[in-house]
Amino acid sequence: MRLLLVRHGKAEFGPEDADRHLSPRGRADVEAVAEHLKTQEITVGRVLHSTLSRARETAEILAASLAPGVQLEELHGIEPWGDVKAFAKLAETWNEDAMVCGHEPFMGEAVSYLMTANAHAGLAEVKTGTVMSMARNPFGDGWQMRWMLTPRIVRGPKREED
Amino acid sequence: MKLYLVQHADALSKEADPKRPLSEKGLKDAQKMAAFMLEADLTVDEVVHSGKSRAEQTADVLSKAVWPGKAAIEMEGLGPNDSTDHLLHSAQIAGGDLMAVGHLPFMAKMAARCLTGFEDGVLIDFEPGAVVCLERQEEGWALSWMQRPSMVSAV
Repeated sequence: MRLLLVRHGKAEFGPEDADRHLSPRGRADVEAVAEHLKTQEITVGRVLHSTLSRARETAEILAASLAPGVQLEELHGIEPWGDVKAFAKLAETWNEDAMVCGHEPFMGEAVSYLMTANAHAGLAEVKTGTVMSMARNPFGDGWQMRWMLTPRIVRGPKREED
Repeated sequence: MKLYLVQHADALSKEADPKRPLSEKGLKDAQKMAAFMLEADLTVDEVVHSGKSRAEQTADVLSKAVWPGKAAIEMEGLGPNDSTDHLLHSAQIAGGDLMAVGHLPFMAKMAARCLTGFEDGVLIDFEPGAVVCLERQEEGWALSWMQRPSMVSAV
């Protein structure tokens, strides 16, 4: 089973944190990552996102490429300061490849916890629009990283028009 | 300051060729990874390899993209079962970004040591030709990105 962990794309500033939307740059970033993953025929059976707009919008863009026709699910408890241990426990019960769109510091803590059982190990620098693919560790407990793609890596450096 | 850990691409078996150069697939995979990094406009300040044919060839192909005009350098202490001390020290004192091309289990141990301080635990699922980019933090290192040939289209 593959678990794709995603940090939402760059968002606009707004008075209401839960309702901040992706910026044009954030949208383009996520679209570029989605396009790369589509080319590699990456698909998932489930798409989940946090209760915040920027995570939902990110999930919508990625789902259009990786999970056409799949109904998006809102997942509570993965907000920026959510409980990573509870999330890891939940993910252990999933059988289908799933993508989860959320936030920092949650995603960085989740990936650290999945790999080492220490949420505060700081194993990954998770920039906006990053997607990380995790798989169960065949040699022991926990999970391993298979790939980690950022908008910078799939789009190239910032260009004039951005 | 970045440290790139690379597992050499697919190589011929000892039986097919005792020197174990890259296979046709390995050469193609290395070229795919080079093209990927060229497209991303990534460059490094030094490329080193273990001295074994499969690592040297992989390093040569990647160098063309990330260290143009330079030839990858053989470095001691990058053998499959070497201690990770030497590379860790080199990375810590390096003035710029360093790419090291070597073998398993060395690269898996090095990645684990950079990330957690300990060599045990296989945190990264390497495959031949895979590239792992770590970035130095105030304390230790963190994953910046990781790509594998099976996730890159043919050139």
